[in-house]
Amino acid sequence: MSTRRRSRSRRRGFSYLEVQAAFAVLGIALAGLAPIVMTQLRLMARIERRLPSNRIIYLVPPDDSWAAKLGAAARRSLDFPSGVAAAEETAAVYSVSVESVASSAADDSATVVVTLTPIEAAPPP
Amino acid sequence: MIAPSARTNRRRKGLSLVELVIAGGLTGLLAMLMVTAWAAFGRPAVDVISRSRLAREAALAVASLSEDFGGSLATPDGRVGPKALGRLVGGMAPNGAEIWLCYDGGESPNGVADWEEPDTIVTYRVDSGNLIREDRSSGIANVAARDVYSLGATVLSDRVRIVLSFRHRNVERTLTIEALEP
Repeated sequence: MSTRRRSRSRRRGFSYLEVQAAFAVLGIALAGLAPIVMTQLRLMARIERRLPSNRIIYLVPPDDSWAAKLGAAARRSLDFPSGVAAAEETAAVYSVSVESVASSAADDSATVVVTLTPIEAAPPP
Repeated sequence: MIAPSARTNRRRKGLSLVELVIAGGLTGLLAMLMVTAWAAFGRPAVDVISRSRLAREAALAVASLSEDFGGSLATPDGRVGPKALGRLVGGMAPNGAEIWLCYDGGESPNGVADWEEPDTIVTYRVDSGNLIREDRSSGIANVAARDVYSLGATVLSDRVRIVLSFRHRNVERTLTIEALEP
């Protein structure tokens, strides 16, 4: 057997140059994917803009009650619907009357029994 | 007799320091390029799968809520009967984590949310990452959207504010919806 053939048969793995070339080919292939990724990202952003996270999505029911009856869904709107007042939290208002007060010197505590009566909100002027 | 150059070649083993330094430098450069390429293209390409999934689930959730907040619910026989039959007459948010909607029912709908038969009650809740819509009268429940990890609801004076949070892998998305009363 010649020295050259023996040397080849003993060779294992890749040379560094081969690894470098393989990486370069991989890099070129990945660069070819870049436009596809960019297109995908642009389309994704367009889809996300339809239901944005940073804005309120209003569901506006149809004005015509027959349209609602016949199955018209609420309209989706990103703008505040005209003719609708700003939202207010429904906070119940109560009248408080104290029924009894009991205090204990033993454990330094007090017990108060109260009665809450809801107060009807005045209609807006 | 062996020539000096041939002897040198045969005795040589391994790499010189200069070769190692060059190889190390080139490897570092390659690694840097790979990291940059991954950050610029790889990561967004992986995230876009989750983002598109969340966008689809968000659209499904909004579509389901749009139907129910349209103002009227079909009866089991279809959209028949007087206009007031199946009309949305009330909404509430028990614990702030569920939505309950009451639709008028019966022979002569009274226009009041009774929260019991013959009215129809539809609820939304989150269970095991799914947004469940349930018709309490018929007992039929279906998944309105997946990848939902929280539902917040607040009843305001003339609307219901709903905050839906979606999550898939490491991507999160939150929608704020205000459904106006019919």
